[in-house]
Amino acid sequence: MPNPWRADTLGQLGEREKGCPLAGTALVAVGYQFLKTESLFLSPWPDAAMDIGGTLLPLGVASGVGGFLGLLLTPLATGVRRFLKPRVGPPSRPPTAAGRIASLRLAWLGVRILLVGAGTWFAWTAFWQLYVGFPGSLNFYVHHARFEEIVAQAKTMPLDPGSGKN
Amino acid sequence: MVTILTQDWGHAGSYGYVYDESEPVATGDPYFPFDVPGALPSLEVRLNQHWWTAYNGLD
Repeated sequence: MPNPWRADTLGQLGEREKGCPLAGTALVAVGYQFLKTESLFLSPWPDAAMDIGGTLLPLGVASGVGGFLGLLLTPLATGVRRFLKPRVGPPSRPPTAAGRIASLRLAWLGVRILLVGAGTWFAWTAFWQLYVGFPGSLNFYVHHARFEEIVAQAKTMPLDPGSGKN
Repeated sequence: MVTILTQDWGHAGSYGYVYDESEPVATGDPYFPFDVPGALPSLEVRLNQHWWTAYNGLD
């Protein structure tokens, strides 16, 4: 069975096999978000962030990008090897037109993986915040006017004596 | 300071927003990390100058 990550075999793959890395990327993104959502006590929101030394690191974005880069690591390693080989190794044959096409196919596959990952990411975030109703940037943007109205009403209420709270 | 509860899932936690015109005061208590009125003592993401997403996973 051909390795779908090898550039020189991409041209031999059918459309079904080419879709495997994309489906795998979407599966990783959804699976990660599902596991993170299951751990409700840790970070239930798709845009959760971790405070590291005063800097907020968006866990979802960071891990998502990390996961996609990990999926791209194998073809990148192949690219690095092909870049270094003619420079540090023995002379090799000149690149062929088929090789260039295979490289372009590999680059296009990487772009599609990133696009599918970003789309999955956005769809998952939209699902949790707009359909389920978890708080977050999207949910807040949609209901912002209503929340501001609640705050305005709360400001008109009398304060608890000495507490400064409504 | 105003707390708005948008999701109450019982033992699965409560979620919502906190509006605060000043800086939230940390308590040092891991179970109630911020001095916030209402049932959402854990602030998670700062959405803008006054708004935070908040939750309570202790129910």
